[in-house]
Amino acid sequence: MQDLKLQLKELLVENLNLQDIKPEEIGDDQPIFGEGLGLDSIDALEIIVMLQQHFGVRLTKADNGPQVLATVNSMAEYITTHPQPKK
Amino acid sequence: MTHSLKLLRSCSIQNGTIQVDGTNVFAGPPATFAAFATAAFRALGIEYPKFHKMDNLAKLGFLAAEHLLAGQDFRAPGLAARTGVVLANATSSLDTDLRYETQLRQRLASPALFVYTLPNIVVGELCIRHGITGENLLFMTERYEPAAQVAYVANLFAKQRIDRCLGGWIDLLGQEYRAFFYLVGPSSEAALPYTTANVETLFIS
Amino acid sequence: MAVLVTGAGIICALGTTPEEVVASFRAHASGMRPVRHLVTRHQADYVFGEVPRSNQELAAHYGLPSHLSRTMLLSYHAACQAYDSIPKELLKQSRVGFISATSVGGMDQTEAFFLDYVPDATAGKLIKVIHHDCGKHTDFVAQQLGIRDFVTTISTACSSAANSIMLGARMLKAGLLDIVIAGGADALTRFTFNGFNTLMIVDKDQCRPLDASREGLNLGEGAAYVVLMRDDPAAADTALCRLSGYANTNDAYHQTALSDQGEGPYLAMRQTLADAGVEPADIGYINLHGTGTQNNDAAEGTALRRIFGEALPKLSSTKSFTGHTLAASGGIEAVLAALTVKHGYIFPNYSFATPIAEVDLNPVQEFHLDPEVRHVLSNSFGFGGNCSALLFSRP
Repeated sequence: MQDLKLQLKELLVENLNLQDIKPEEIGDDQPIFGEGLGLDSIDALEIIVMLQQHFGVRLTKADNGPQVLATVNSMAEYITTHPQPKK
Repeated sequence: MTHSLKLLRSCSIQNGTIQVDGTNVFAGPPATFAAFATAAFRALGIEYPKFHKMDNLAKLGFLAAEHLLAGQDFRAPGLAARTGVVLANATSSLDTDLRYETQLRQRLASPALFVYTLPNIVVGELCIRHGITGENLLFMTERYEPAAQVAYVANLFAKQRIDRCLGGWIDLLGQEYRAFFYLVGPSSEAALPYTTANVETLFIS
Repeated sequence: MAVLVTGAGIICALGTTPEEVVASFRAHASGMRPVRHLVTRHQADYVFGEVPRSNQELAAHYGLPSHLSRTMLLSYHAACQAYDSIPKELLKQSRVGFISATSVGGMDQTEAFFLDYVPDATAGKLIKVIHHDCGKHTDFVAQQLGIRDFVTTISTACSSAANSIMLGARMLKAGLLDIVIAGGADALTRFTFNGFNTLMIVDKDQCRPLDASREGLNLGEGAAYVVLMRDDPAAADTALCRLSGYANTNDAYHQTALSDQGEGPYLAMRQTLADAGVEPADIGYINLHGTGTQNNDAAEGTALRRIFGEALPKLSSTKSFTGHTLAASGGIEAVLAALTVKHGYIFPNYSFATPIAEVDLNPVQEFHLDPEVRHVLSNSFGFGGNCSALLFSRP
């Protein structure tokens, strides 16, 4: 789980061009939208694409997007409870 | 309007250098535009993480506008609502379009990149950064045509739509880039009058 | 000095002439359907406002080569209609301008070329990409119509055509031109569709602007131009209407979303009314930008309430019939607004069930005639925060 969370943080920094932030600096429970990392709605869409690309999970409208994406913890939780379907 | 229109300041970015009113203010090492832009941004010493999410055209415009509008004179309250932005461009958002199309081929379409596949997004970024809500336009022309721009901007002033205008040219494709921005407004100070000839002179210098 | 709208040309999912388009509204026949000409993997899953003509058909109608970009063909079709409305004698003695707008340019051809080119750099026909640039369609149409005095292209996303019309009016008032054909054109492309999809603002089914349950926009395509001339006693009788006010502002909030208070739209509408010396109570109908996205309809609705308070005029989103035609939308909606002023046509929202709670807008739901309408407002807001409003009034 810790590896997954670190991987998520590294992906966030890379995909969202968070140049001034190191992955280790992102707290597991830190809210990443709004005041947190200053992410906006476009960043949310980027993360959705990122989760699909790297973990095969696709957020649907039924999933509570804002809740799932709120923190690294909630994203890691979602990934581990929604295993990638067999190709 | 009691004061005639003057060119209050200009900023030019090309070949890894940034000039304000003809004086070099930043020179990057010979490098890609991306490396130059990052170095130039760091040299500004400002806090604006959104810069890193912009595409190259928007970064170019951001840097030019940041230098152009630096200083209290250009940030007086109420001015932003009466500031216009009138720019011209040739290759549209082609630099980003190519990147985006490549992503589409790999089924990796990035929403953040798609946002920049319109040339006027750079205008939007400038307005967001500086709180500008006045009239804003982007013309597509093969080459920079100061005459048409000067006539258009002068008309905006004559109709009292704006008190200041950011005008100029911005284009970027691969490693070929040029930003030429000027700030024009009424002034009684000794400064270059806002004429096609003067804009042309500044552009080619 | 007033600016008159003396003619128009239009092509979109609803038809290839103004008459066909109006007939579609009368029949309450939305233009949204599965595509037949755009080649896409999603053909069975999404509806679009596609022009019901292939490139071959469009080209053949005018004896043009069919390798031209679809944007070029649509632009030419609508521009010809507009041009044909101008008396030939008048053309001879006038300085004429053509101002167009686009967001995709020749992308429809380029994306097909790219498919061949990427795996093999010697494959793909280069002729497909020579019309890629935004200005190429404008130059082509101007050349075909013999317009030389002023030709330019504007690209400010979905407000582009409205800005073309604004520029045209200014050039007339400044005495630089005597006649201006102004508007815009955009064709459907996979590039645009994919992009809007990644922003998750596209509805797979018929869009529902202004409805609380709306799920996004439908993409459309088309072209439309208005003919503008200075006020002239001879023209006033036959004119469609007057362009009595306009304004352009920036929302200065986000690249693709409007601010919660709808500041950019609010300023654009307010300045337009002030420009024309017209009060909110004088507006008979508003052709909204109304894309059907969560963000636009809420923000535009908020801006409307700030201006009109409780007393909202009749309003609707014609994009519910045409789809969102991007850079052409300001032109298409200008033509519709002109027809509203001239003939009293009140165009409806295609469907409507539940108002958006925060703004409570209730659109017109049936096409009908209202001979009392004297002033019509048309909104067009583009990515990049570019917000425009045009006011059309009786001559």
